[in-house]
Amino acid sequence: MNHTPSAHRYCSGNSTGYSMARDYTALSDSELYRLLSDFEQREAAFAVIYRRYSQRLYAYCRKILANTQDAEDAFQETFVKFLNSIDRERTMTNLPAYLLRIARNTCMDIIEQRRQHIELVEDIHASAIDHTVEQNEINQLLTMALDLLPHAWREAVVLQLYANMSYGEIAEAMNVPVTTVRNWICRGKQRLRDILQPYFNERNVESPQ
Amino acid sequence: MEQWSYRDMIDLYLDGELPADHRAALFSTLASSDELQAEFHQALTLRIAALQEAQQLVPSPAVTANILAAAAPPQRGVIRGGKQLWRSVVGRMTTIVTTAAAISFVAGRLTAPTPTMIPTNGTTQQSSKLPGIQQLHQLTTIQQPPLPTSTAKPRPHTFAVAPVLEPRGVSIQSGDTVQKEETVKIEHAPLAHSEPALIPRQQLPIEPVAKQTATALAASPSPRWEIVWPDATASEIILSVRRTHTILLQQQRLVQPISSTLLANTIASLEYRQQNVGVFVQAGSEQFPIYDVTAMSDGPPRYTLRQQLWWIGGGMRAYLPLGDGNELLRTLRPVAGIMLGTSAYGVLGRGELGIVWEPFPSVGVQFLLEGMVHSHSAGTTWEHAEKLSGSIGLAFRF
Repeated sequence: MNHTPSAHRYCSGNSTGYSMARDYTALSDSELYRLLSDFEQREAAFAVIYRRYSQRLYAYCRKILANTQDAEDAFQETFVKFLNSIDRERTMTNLPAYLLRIARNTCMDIIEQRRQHIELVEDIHASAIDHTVEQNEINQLLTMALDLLPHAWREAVVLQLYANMSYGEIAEAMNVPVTTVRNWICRGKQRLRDILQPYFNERNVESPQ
Repeated sequence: MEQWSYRDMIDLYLDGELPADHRAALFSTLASSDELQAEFHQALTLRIAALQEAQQLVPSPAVTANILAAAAPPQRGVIRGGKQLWRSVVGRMTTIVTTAAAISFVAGRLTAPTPTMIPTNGTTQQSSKLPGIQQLHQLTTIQQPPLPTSTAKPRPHTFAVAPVLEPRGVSIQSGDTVQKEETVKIEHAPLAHSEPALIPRQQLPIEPVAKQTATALAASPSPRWEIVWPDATASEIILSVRRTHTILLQQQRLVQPISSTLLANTIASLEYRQQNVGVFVQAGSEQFPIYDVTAMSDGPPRYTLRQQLWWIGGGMRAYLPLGDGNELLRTLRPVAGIMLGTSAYGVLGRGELGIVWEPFPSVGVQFLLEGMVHSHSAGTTWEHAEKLSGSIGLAFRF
């Protein structure tokens, strides 16, 4: 979980920031969202929301875009769009799903831009190679295997594995029935295991030694 | 009860989505199947690997700082250095006013019209030459008898130059100069028959001119010159360009300052003014928050902040008549106007109130306080934004 000083200022029990007046971490998502329309409390409320959901959103962006720079751009744009879309009349019932929908739209835009700029493909491959150098073996293979899944399957699996979302939350975020999400995730994970079967077989051979 | 394969059940179980009534069946099969145990182990390996990686996927502190800064309220009133000074309200207004004043002064000097010379002595001679300055000086230094008392106010900018006093037998043409020494020597006509050097136009006594002077005038007409400035009551075409500065900006979704460009907040207007009422068309480019809404099939509508608004519209202005006070007050004309217009996103209405300063015949400066309301469709609803701004501009009259 991210604990930058700025984000932590409003969440801790120390004497800095707004924590003296109010413990924002105890508020629900809908209460925090309502405070975003309050000029005085917007910054503190937003910091708590950011701390709650930044990690899973960033993980989603990273795994979907497979490029650190693009992921950071999409991640940053997601929160800026969220800030711009604040509506004091709206009752926020599922903030993580709402944030994820914004992130999905943003990532889709970036993916679409990639398709329109074919020359970027080389950069993506290059970054993927750089990316894998930094990971351990299983994560390298898992990342590459994810890229081989159909997009909807991959998205559902990423949300479940990396954003730690329930099937219901994923269904709401992707605007599809829960049964569809369950099907995508089960098919996706089984496909991952099939793709990585050589790796598992090799490990099984090495393990007895 | 839904029917799932044991492979499905493994994933559902690890994800915490397998109903309790399926677990017993899964566990009993796992205990007896090496193949299913291997599958379970692989699924667990992947899940642990993903969780470990996810914990390492955190945004950089710089990204976090940028995002949190976007939520911070904008700082106001902090001025540091030249750039910050320009960005401040006081700095911008000072610069704009100074620049506009300088431009209007230069433009006024360059575009000031050559006065129309109208001979007022009954002749039809058209000439563009004024009497020599020495003659004017001479005329103004002549001792004049007291004029009959008149209650009529002299008309501003309107005066007549009396005919040059001529010595007997000598004719002086318009534009000639007279040397001072010669002036001393010449014998003037009787003062009783002369005219004052500067007299109101309405009181120009044409008749009591001495016969010899009249004869000399007829032989060599020396016209009376009248400087006529453009008639303030006539119809005019006014082309104006003004720069606005935002004072207040309100939009329900707006939570962060919006950007501005060099061309933002500029308005051009073309107006036809007849006496004290004008109709106009004008177009503007303004720093203004518009949320363009795109309906999304798989999520909430997407709001895209448009920070630049181009609009066009038409309306009318009413000016207060020129006063009869002193020279400065006569050049200031209070004005009020309304306008309806349209932009690419919706409709707008504007109102303005201010003063037009017209110190020169064809150039003026506008100082206006303007309000604007813009409404646009946002999916199934309408959103609106309001702006109050102050503007200053140049107006060229033709």
